[in-house]
Amino acid sequence: MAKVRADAKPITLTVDGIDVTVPEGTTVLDAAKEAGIFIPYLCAHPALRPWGACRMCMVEIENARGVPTACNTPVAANMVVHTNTPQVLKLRRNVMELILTEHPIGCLTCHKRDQCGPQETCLRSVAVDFRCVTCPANYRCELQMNCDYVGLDEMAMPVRAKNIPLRKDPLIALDWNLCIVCGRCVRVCDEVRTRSVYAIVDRAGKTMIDTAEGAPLEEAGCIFCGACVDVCPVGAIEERRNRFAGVADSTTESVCQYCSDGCAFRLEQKRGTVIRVGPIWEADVNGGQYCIKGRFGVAEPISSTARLLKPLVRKDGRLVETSWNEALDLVARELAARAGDQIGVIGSVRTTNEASYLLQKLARLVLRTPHIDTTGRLGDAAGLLGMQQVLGVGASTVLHDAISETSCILLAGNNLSHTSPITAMKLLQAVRPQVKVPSNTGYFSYLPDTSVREAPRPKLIVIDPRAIEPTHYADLWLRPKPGTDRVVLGAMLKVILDEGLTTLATSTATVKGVEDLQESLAPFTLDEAERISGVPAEQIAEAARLYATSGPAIAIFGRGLTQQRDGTAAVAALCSLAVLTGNVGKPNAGVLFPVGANNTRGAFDLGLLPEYLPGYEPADSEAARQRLEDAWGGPIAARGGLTLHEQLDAARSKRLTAMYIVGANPAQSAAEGTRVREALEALDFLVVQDLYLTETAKLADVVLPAASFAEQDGTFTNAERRVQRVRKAVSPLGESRPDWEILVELAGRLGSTAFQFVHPIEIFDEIARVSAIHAGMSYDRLDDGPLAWPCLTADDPGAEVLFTDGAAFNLPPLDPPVAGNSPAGYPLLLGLTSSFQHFATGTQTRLVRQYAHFQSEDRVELHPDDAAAAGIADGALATVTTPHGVARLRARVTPEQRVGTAAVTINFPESGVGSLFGPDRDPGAKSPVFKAVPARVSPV
Amino acid sequence: MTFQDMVNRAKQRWQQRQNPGKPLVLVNMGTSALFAGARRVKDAFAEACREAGVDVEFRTVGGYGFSFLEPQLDIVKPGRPRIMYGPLTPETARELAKSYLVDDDPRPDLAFVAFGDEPFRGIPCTAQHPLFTKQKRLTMELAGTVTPDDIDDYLANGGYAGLAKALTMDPGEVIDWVTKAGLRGCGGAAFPTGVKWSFNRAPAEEKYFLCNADEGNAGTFKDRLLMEGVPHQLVEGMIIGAYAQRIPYGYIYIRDEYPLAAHLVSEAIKQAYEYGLLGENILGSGYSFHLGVKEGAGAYLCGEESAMIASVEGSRGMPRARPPFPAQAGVWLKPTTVNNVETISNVPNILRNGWEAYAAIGTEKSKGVRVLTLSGACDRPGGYEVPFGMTFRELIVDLAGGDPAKIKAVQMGGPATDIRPIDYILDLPIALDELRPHDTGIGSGGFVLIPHSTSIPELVKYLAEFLRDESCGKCFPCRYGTQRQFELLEWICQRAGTPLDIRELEKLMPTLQYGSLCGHGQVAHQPVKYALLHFRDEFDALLAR
Repeated sequence: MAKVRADAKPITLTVDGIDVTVPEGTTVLDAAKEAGIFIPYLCAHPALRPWGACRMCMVEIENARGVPTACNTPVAANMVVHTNTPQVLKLRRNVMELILTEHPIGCLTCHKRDQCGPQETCLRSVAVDFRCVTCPANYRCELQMNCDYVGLDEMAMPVRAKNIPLRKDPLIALDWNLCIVCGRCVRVCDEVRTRSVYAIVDRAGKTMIDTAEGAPLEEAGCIFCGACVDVCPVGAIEERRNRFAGVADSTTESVCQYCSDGCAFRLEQKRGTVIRVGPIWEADVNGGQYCIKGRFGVAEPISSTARLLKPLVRKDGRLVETSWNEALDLVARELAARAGDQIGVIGSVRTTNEASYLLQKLARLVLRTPHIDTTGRLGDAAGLLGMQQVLGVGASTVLHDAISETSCILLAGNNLSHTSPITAMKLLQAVRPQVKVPSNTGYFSYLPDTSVREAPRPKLIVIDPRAIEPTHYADLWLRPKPGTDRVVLGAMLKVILDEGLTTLATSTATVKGVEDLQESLAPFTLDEAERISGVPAEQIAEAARLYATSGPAIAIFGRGLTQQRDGTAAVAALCSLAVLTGNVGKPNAGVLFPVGANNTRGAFDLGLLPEYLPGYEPADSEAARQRLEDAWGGPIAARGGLTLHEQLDAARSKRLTAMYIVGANPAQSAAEGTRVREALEALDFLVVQDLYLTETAKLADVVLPAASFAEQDGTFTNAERRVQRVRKAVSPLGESRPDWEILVELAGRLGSTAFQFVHPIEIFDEIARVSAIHAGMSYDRLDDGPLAWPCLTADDPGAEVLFTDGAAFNLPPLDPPVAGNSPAGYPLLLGLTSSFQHFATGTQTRLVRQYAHFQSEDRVELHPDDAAAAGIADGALATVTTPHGVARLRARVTPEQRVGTAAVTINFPESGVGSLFGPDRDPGAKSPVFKAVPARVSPV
Repeated sequence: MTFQDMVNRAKQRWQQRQNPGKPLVLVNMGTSALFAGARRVKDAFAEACREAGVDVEFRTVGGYGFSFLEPQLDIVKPGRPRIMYGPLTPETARELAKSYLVDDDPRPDLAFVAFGDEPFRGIPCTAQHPLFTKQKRLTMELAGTVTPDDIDDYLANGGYAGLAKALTMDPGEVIDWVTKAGLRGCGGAAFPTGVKWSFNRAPAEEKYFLCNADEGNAGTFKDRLLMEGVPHQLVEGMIIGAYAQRIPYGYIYIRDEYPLAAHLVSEAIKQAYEYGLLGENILGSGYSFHLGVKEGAGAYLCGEESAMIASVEGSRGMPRARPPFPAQAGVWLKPTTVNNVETISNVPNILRNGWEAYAAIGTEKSKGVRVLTLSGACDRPGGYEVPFGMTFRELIVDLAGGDPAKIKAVQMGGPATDIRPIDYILDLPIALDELRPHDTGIGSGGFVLIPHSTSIPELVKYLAEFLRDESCGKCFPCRYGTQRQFELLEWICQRAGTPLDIRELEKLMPTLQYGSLCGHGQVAHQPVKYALLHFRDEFDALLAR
C-alpha cells in the first residue's frame, strides 16, 4: 500500500505472532497486510497520506500507550503488535456502532439478508429510506465489509437520519446521507488532484463534506476526474450513470482509449456490458487517477445504440445492412482491381498496435500502395518529424513522471489539462505552491529518520497565447501572438548561445550544426522577436536564462506548436534548446511529446505513415526495405507515399480511385472541410472501417463495423513510449469484429498467405521480429507491466530515459523570422482549441449523454475586447469567416483568450468547423495549418 | 545602545512616571474590567477631577487578577500609599474623586486595600491581607502595575534581564536550567518543559516555536490576565525558549475572542523589534528570532497543539494523527515546539532569579507557582497566583472567599475534567503528581465552584453540549460519541431516560477515551464519568420509572 523507499532498511516485527520483515517507514497497517493479517480501516487509502480519523485500525502494541492506530504508526524493530485483543475488538465494535447511528443500516439488519442472494430486489422488508437497494454501493461498500468483519451483534444506540437533500451535479451523484466523513474525497481532491473542490464543513455532529458554500461541482472548480468516486468507501459519491448497476460479474484490466497518457484501469463487466470503469491504484502510469473522459466517457460509447452492428453496403445510393461475406468480397474485389498506387490508406491513431501493424502490412504488401497515413498528420506528424530532425527519435525522451523531479518545466503550446490530463496532474502537483506534500519517494518520508524533503518547486515557463491552467502557477508566462512561437524559441536559442549558457563543453553527445545554427540566428534579435511575437524582449531573455540555468529541465510541447505553419521548425528549435542546455539524455530532463490519441505513438512506431517503415526505418532506405521484404516474403510498395492531404488532393484529381479508411474521420477533422468531402465523393470506391457511422462513413461504399478496444486483445503505446496490454472485457457488440480480424479476413480474400493470425499475440510476435525497438517485448512480459521502447532483448527492462549512453544530435539552422501579414478585413487569428470533456471529433464522447451538460455544440471563444468590438455577447451566435470558409458558432467570451485571437472547437459534425481551415501546409510535415488563420467574427 | 543603557534609561523614565508630582491613578483596563464598566468609571472619575480642578495622571494597566473588584481604580497620591478601590460605579467614582483628592478622605468604605506594611487610615494593608499574603506572585507580579504596552515599564522592573542572561549562556544550559527549575506545562498536561524543549534542540534551518494562547476552557482566564497584564513577559519568554532550542521562527496563536490581548502582544512584539530584542542578531548575540501573532478563527479545538499547527498553516483546525509528533513534523512539517502562555511567562523569572529560587517554591514533586482562576459560588472570583502545596481550602476559602457549606461541587480545571464534591478536595494540596492518587488534577487551572442550587445532570448536559459543539468532527469516536453523549443526557434531563441510557453513557466512555484522536475526545467523557461516580443519586432521581 505504501510506497516506501526501495533502499530503506529492513525492519522485523511481530504481528499476531507472525514475524514479518518490511522496509523502514512502512506503517503497521501495511506490515500487517504483508503478514496476511487484515486490519479494518475506513479513512486510510493507498493513494493518500495517513489521516487517523476513523480509528477502526486500532491495535495494541506492547510497551506503547493506549491503542495506537495502525495507519499512521511506523514500524519499529522488534515491535510486537496485537490486532485482535478483546479491548481492540470491543472498541472497534463500539466505534462501528457509533458510525451506524448516522448511516442507513438496512443492508445490514434486514432479516431477509441471508436469503436475498445478490440483494437486487426488495419486497418491503424494511422502511424505504433504509432499504439496501436504495444504496448504490450495496455489496461494494467498505463500511458494509468492515461491519461484517467487526461483527456487530447489537445496536442499542438510537439511529438518526440526516435528511440532507440530494444534489443535481452531472456525472457525479452525491448523497451526503450515506457519507461517513472519512475525508478521503477531500484529501484526494487536494493532495492528488490539486483541485480542492471539497472541504469538511461545520463541526461536531453536523460535520459534513461539501463544496464551498454548497456550490455546484462545476463552479467549485471540479474537473470531474472521478477520483472522489473511486476513493469513497460508501455510496455517498457515485458515478451517476449505472449507479444502481450493482456488483460487476467480472473485471478486466485494460488501458484507456482516449488520450496518449495511457491510463490503466479496470473494465467492470456485467451481463456482457461494460457498466463502469474502476481504478487500478498500482498502475505504473497513472496510479489510479483518471480524467473526465477516461472515468466517465469509456463505458457508454461501447454499448451505445450508435454502434454499427452489421456491415453496410451502398445500394441505390443508400447504405444498407449486409453480411460480412458480401461486404468483404466486395471490398476485396474492388481493391484488388486497383492494387498499386491507386489506393489510399488512412489508418487510425486509436486502434491497437496489432491492427495498425496489419493495416500498413496490408497496404504495403498486399495492396502494394505506399500511400499510407493517419489523422496523426493533423497534429502530431510535425512533432515527430521535428524531433526526428534534431534528436533522431520523435518521442518523449523520458517518462512523464520526470515532471515531479525536474527543476524547470517549459510548457510550449499544449493545453495539457485538456489534452493529457494525467500529465497535467503531475505538472500541477509539482508546481503548485505548497510544501505539505512530502517527497514522492513515499508518503511516509516525513517520519523520523526518513528526512523531510521540502519538494523544491520546479520553475515553470509557459509559452502560450491562451491562459491555460498552468499559467496560474507559472514563474514566467510568455504570451506570443499565435503562430510566432518559432521566433520566440529562436530568440531564446540566440540568448543561450550568445550568453554562453550551453553545456556543449561538457556534453558527451556529438552535436552537429551549432555554428550553422548560430549563424542563422543572427536576425533573431530580442527586439525583432518582440516586434513579431509581441512578447517583451526581457521576458524572452529571462525565459532562456531560467531554462538554461535552473538545473534539469523538461520541455513539453503540443499542438499549439505543431499545428502552426512552421510547426516542424518550431519543434526542432525547441529540441535544439534542450540539446544545447544538456537537457537530453539524463534523468529528470528531456523533451516530452504528448501526442494526440491513445495510440498515435503506436501508429507512428509501426510505420502507419509514408515516411517510415515499422520501427522508424526510413521508407526510402534500400536496406530497410530489403529487410522488410525478407521478413514478409514478398515485394513491398514503391517509395513516395502521399500524406493525408496529398491523398485527398490526389483523390480529387482522380489519381487515387479508392480509399480504405480505418477509424478516422477526415471528413470532419481535416482542413478544407468541404473540399475533403468533394475528394471522398470523387473516389470510385471508399471503404470505412469504424465503430460508428461517422461523417466519413456516411460517404462510404462499404462500412465495416469494428469492435471497440474493450472487445479485443492487443496493445497500446502511450506518449511515453510505454507499450501496455489491452484486454478483452466483453464480446463484440452485434456482428462487429476486431480490426485485426477484419484485416486478416480481407488479406485472405486478397490472396495473401502472410496473414495467418488467429490471435493478436501472434501479430505482436511478428512485430517483435520486424521492429527492432519492440524486439524484447512479448505479451508475457507486458502482463507484468508496461515496457518502454526501445526494448531490444528479452531481458532489457526498456528505456525509460533515452540517450543515456550518449547520442548524435543535429541542430538544423532556422529560416529567418517573418512577420505574418493578415489580409485586410481579417483582424483576428483563429486557431483550433480543445474542450475538456470531448475527444478529437467527439465521435465517441458525444455519445456520453451527460457531457451535454457542459457543451452541446461547437463554439468560438473570444476575448471580451474582441467580442465587444464585433458586437457579440457571451452565448450569442456568431459567424466566423476565414479566407477559406464560414461557420456559424455560439460564442464563448472569456479572458482566457488572448486579445486579437479566436479559437474554435471541433467536436460536433454539424458545425462544419473544418471548412474554416485552408490549403496551407507546414512545409516540414506537410500537415495542415490549424493555428493563426486570419479570421473575422460578426453577429448573426 | 547596550542593554544596560536601555535598562538605565527605562528606569529613569519609570521613576518619573511613578512620581509625577500629582495624584497617579492606575486604571484597570483588562477585558473583564471593561465589561464591568471600567471606561465609564474612569470617565466619571476624570470628569469629577476636572470639575474639582485637580490635576491627575492616569495610567492604563492590565487586570490585577481581582475580578470581583472591577471596575477598579488604584490611586497613589504623592507621599501616600497606593490604595486599591473597587468595585466602583460612576457615582462612587465621582464621590471618591471629590472626597480623596479634594477633601483628602481616603474613603475606607470604598477602598479595598492599601499597599504597605501598615493599615492606612482604616484601610487594611496588603501585608496583613490574605489575598496578598497567600499569593506568590511571580508571573503576575507586574500585572496591574505596569502599562502593558510600554516596554520601558517592563525593562525598568527587571524585564528582559532573563533574556540578557540567557544569551550569555549556552542554549543547552538554558534548557538545563528550565529542567532543573522543575517547570511543567501549564496548559493542562503538565509535561516537563525542559524535556519538551530538548526534543527540538537539533539545529535546523526551519523550526517553529508556537505559543498556545487559544485559552478556551470555560472558567479559565489565566492566559488572558498574563497577556493583558504583562505581554512583554511572554515575548521575553518566547525569545528565551526559542534561543534554547535554536528556533528561528515563532508564532503566538491568540484566540479570536481575545482581541485586546492580541493587540497588546502585537504592540509588545513591535516594541521588542524596535529595541533590537527581536529580529536579526538579538542584543549582538548573533542569534536571530522572528516572532509574530497569529489570530485564531474561533475554534476552541485549535487549543489542541496539532490542530493549532494546522490552523497556523491556514488549514481547517483539525488535529493530526501522531506520529509524527510536532517535534518531528509540526508547522509546514518542520520541527515545532508548542507551549502554553503561562509556561512561557514563567521562563524569564527562572533565568533572572536562577532555577534554584524557582525550584525552592512548591512541593517536592510540583515546583513553582500556578495562576488559578476561580469563579462561581464565591465572594472573590478572580485569578490568583499561588505556590504549589497550598491546600484547596486556603484557595477556595481564604482567597476566593467561598463558603464550603454553600458549595456542592468543584469543577476541576476546565469543562472536560472532574466534577468533584467539595469535601473531597478541601484538604488536598494544590499540586500535580500529588493529586494523581486522588484521581484528580488542576488541569488548565480554572475552577468553577458549583452551588447547591445547581442540578448536576443539567450542568453535565451543558458541558456535554459544549464539548459536542467544539468537537472538530474529524475522528469518528469524538464526532459521533460527543453527539450521542449529549443526546443521552438531554433525554435523562427531560426525565425520559432509563437505566439503559446510563449504561449506554458508560459504554461510550472507553470508546471516547481510547478511541479518540486527540485530547478533546479522550477527555470528553470525564464530566459524565465523575458526575455519575459522585452524584449518581441525582441522575437516578431523573430516570423514568
